[in-house]
Amino acid sequence: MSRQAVIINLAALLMMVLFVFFRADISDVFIMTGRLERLFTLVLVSLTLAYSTIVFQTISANRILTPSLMGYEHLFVLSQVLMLMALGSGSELVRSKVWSFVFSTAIMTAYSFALYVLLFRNHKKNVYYILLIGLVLGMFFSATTQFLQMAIDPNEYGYVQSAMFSSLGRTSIDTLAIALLVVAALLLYVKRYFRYLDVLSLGREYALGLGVDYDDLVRKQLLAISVLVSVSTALVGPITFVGIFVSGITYRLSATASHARIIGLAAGIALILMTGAQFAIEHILNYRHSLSVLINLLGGSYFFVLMIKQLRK
Amino acid sequence: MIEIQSICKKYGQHPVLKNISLSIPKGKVVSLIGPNGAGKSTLLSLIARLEKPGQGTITLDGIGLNSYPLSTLSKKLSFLKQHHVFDLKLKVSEIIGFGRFPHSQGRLNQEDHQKIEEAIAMMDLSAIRDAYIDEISGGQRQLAFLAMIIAQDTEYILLDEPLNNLDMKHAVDIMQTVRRLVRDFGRTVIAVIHDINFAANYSDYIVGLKGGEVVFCGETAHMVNEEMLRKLYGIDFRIMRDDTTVLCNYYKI
Repeated sequence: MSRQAVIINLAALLMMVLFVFFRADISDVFIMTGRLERLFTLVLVSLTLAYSTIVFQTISANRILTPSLMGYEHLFVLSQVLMLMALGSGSELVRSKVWSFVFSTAIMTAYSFALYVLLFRNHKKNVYYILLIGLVLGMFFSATTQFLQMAIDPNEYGYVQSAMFSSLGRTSIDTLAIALLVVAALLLYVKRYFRYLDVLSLGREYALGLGVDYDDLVRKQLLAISVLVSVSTALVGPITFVGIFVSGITYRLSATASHARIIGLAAGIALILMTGAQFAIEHILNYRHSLSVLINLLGGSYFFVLMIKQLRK
Repeated sequence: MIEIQSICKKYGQHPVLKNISLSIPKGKVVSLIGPNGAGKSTLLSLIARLEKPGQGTITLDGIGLNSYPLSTLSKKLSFLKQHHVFDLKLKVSEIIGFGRFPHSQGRLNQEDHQKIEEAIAMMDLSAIRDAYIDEISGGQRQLAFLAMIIAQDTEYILLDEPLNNLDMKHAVDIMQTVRRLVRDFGRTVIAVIHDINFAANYSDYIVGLKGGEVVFCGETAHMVNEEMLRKLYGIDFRIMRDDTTVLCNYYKI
């Protein structure tokens, strides 16, 4: 393990301990379970965020795009609204967290494949062009969501609204259990492809030349990314924008191209940012700010510091 | 031996290769030459199975190219691209290590390390083996990727414009390595080459393509003459020979 990885891991561990035990009365079961629940959510979200962002960047062969910038989360919210409108809030399907999750994931997987076929397969496409398309699609999804909200029964509006803002308030033990199950099964499934990911970053021709079935591997990874983004959006709402800071910081700190190590490092950095932000919200800011605002503030400032440092070199 | 039978390839409505039939001998340096848009790179990527032909078949040592499983093909045939990624945190030795992927799936063993060392020695890269690929020059990067292909240890080696953007020293280095691979190790190298003089001096066998059709193919000594080259490129040539080299002059005629 490199020096950076050790430092990041220690810092992440320290933040986790601080998050759980800071001014805590260990005998108070209510507070302790609440904190552990939130910490567990943040760990899951960090993992999904790190994997989905880093692998997405490898597949799209650049380091600016993230699932969030390509409109994934807005699509998740839109799909929830569409399902609510089609079936009504009384429907068992909408109430069942599992089915609404499966529905959104299916839509996002279809979207991933469309993006890949239309934009990424031909790597000669300009990255700014792809970025623009992603931003326009994201705006389109969120505008459609807002438009549809007008047509929604005010009683049902609250349900949609909670999906649109990131917060740790709405996780519960059973959603966490489902999320854990999904993430664990998925990571187990993609674990065997870790070695092939490194070859993937050399591009399609070299991957095929080195005996890696590029197209098949990319399809599997896109499926995994869609599921992971769905998990994190379902858990805490749109938050993966922070992915761009996390990946930027990771690439600047790491001295390797090995995906196993990069993804580990990115997960650690994401966890530090998130526990740090949530800690500040709970103990310093008195619950006045949303998680995503604070994370972007923290991540963004550190990212700028790193960039300025690099420019000076 | 590679047999190409009535291959056609279209990009959209635009035909790139029109009913091409060729046989490429084993154990030679084979150059694909011709003007821009002749279909040279397309033909090479069809042989590497990176793309599928619209019609026709390609056989490699008597077996249809499509019958090879990907894992077998990657131990028999390797491909060097025209453009390389270089914004990765990869060391030169790690790039070369990727060449062993078909053999050991990323878990390098004793034999892999030996092949990597041989490739480093052959390309004379020991001075920069621990440098990251974004820190070295374009020519050194080309040598590093060629070393990766050498470490892949395949009978057939396909090179897509290996001399692109290289200075004279690097270009000569690469062509001499290609000759060694064929002479000492019995490999077959098929390369798209734009510089007619490199093709004429270093290859045993030469294929001239123009507008998606074969203009000529055969041993270099018989193919490189003023009439053939004019037919291929549409400009006048004057060919000068001495004991060691042949020079195709087209600069001022």
